[in-house]
Amino acid sequence: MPAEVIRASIDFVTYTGADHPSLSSIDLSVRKGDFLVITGPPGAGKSTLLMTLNGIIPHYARAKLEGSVRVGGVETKSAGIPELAKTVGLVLEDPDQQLLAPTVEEEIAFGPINLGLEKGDIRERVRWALEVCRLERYAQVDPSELSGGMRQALAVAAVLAMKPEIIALDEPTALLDPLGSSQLMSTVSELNKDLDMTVVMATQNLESVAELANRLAVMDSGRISSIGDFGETVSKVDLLESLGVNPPQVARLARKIGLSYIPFTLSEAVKRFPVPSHSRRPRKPDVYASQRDGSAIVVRNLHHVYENGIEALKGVDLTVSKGEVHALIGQNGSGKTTLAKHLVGLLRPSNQDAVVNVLGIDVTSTKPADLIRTVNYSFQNPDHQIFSPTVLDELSFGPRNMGFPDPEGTARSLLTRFGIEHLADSDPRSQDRYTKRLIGVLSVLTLDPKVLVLDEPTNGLDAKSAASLMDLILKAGVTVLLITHDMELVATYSHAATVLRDGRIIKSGTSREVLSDVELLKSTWLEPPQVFRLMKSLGADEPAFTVEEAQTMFQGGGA
Amino acid sequence: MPFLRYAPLDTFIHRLHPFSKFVFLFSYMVILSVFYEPVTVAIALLSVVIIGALAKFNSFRTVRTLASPLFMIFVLSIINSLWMYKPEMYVNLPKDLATTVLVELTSEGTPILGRTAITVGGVIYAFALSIRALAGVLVFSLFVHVTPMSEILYGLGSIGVPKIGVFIFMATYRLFPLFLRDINTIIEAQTLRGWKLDSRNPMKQAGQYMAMTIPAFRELTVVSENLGLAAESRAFGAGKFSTYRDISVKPLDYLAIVLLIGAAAGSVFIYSVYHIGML
Repeated sequence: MPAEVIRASIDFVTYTGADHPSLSSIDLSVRKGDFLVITGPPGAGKSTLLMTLNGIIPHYARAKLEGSVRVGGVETKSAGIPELAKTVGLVLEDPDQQLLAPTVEEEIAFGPINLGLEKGDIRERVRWALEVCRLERYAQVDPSELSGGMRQALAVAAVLAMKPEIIALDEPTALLDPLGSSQLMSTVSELNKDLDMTVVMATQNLESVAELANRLAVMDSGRISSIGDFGETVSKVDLLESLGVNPPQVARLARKIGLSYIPFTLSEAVKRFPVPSHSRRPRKPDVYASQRDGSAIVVRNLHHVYENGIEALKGVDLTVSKGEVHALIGQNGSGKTTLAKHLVGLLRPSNQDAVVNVLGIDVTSTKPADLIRTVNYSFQNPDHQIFSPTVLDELSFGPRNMGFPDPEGTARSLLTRFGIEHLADSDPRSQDRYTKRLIGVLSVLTLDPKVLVLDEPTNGLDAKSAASLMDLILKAGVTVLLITHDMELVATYSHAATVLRDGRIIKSGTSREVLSDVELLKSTWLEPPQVFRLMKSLGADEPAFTVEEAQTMFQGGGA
Repeated sequence: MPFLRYAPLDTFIHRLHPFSKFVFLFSYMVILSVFYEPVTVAIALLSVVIIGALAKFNSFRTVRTLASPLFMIFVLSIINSLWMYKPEMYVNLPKDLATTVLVELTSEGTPILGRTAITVGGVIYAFALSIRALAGVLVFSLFVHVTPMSEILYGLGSIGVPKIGVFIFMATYRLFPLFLRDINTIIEAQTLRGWKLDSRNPMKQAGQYMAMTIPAFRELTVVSENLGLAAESRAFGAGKFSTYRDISVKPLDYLAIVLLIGAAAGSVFIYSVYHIGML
């Protein structure tokens, strides 16, 4: 049996000023070469647990640790962070907030320089880390010029140069597009398989690690509620779903149709699932059909060139019907955000003959302030806008600026409509991630726009919160342009979808048409939902897009 | 090339020892703090532009990037010069010319302000201050342009700057572009909620500023905390910083150090003894 490299027996970890511990009664053992995934809803304690492994807690973060954490045989309480950095490398969620140096090479050299290593040794480590993370060609490049996935790979390379035995990754793909996630996961997999490096990764995306991990720990409220072999633990579908964590779609489907064995990877599922009794998915009733009348957004021949010469949009044509939820998908840098910013007047076309029309208003000649009540934009990070001491004040801010007759009344009625009137007097800044995201969206909806752009609205949320947020947003009954990388979200909530690649639209149609075009999606590093791929492999003529649809194809009700 | 970023080039200035680069920074700070007369300050500025060109540093692009803040500095300098109407304030300029009033703003006895006027000497002074600010920014930008982070750490570590000082330097270096990006997003997000700064009511204006400053400072705190965390996780402050570059003191370094220190000492000397650089 491989040697134990992590032994954590934590009574509790409590942050200074917190009234309850963030971790309690943790008993964790990790062996060399393990790929341990830690999952759980936001706030479950995953990041805190990772920070105990490299001594950030208790040495750097303001938190008290009671108990023992031994890493590579060293008690973290008695060792300094620099010493522990040689054993455990920690990669954080946001690559931009962990890269410090002006070039890729300098970034990787930063750790070894801090260790005071010899020149030759540092160079050798830099060369090795560049090679392992496939960054050799970018050694002299400014990290900000790399794609998101490559920046995160650089963050991995930077900790690899410390030659740690263990690499700990905290939601490393949360901010990456599918291409970036795939690049990163491939690197991490190689580290684990080829170099026998122990990997501990906190993530909510179990589908992305199902083929790689051998162990899974499920955390809730600071405790490990289940831990064991990845397959066995992920098959506890009810437990995971009750915590708001989505097991892989094939596992959910297996549970729903009562399979005795729960597969958790696509390849395994194809072998285990029976042939569905219906080869076509059920017709989905279109409850918004009556609202879709005429065009809400019309864009024609839109070009945009940024000051630095980057041509972000190259003749885009887009039509979005009134009342529709229209998904805008593509890799980072494909032009999604640039296009969306044109709709609210934050950017202007670079060409004179471009048409950008929202509900009959020519956006190209209208100030953003005059568009606010027609079309608005909910940004990805609510912390970029929340500033008021109470939720009611926050939601009244927009109506007050726009001269509404009763800003507070407007805000209050919206809170009531969304069933969160009890939050009116609470501090929006201290809410959990879900509530902040909801406040962010509502603070725009108080202005009563008819068209709303939602930029990655569910990013960082657990599955239950994400579904709840989308259901609430759809209650508003506005036309929605949804920017997302989440294909399950597209399949579940959007009527239509448009795929952007390199500033051009390569496909536009109903979301089902778009998601069915596997080859086209593959060409832009996207994939249809896992359940679609399963049903297709099982020979379905019209594969399902959601777990619920697939269930019907097995249990009756299909067309 | 973006402002305040290291450029990985191979000019002879890039190849200088980090200590020489720190001497460059220090010497120019001395020179620029001594002179406040346009011709001497302009000579200093010209020398920075020439050194910059040798290091393939585009001074003009930096000036264009900083046009607005530099204009603000000029306006502030003009305000600062409104009290420069007394003859004893001038040594080299003909006193009559220097104190010639172009516009009398307030008269003697005006509460708080006293007498204020735009004078010829004041305008020259404001002009010199602006050139000085511009030269200072170029010197710092040029230093960053030619000095990689590892050399800065090595250099600061070798001269005994404590860990916290090194971290502040490093974090500032990295925070600046991240902070600008966040500010831009915050302005966009608040603009779409009807936010604007054109209210004449000071109370309302203060409230409007809060909509930008609170999220901005929260983001700044989060980013600095994460950068700190990332640095600590990579053994920052473990001991003495080493370097992986070929750093050795070459004859060119001795020459540069002698010239730079000589220029700084010479500036102080001619200023003190011959009053060169005074208005």
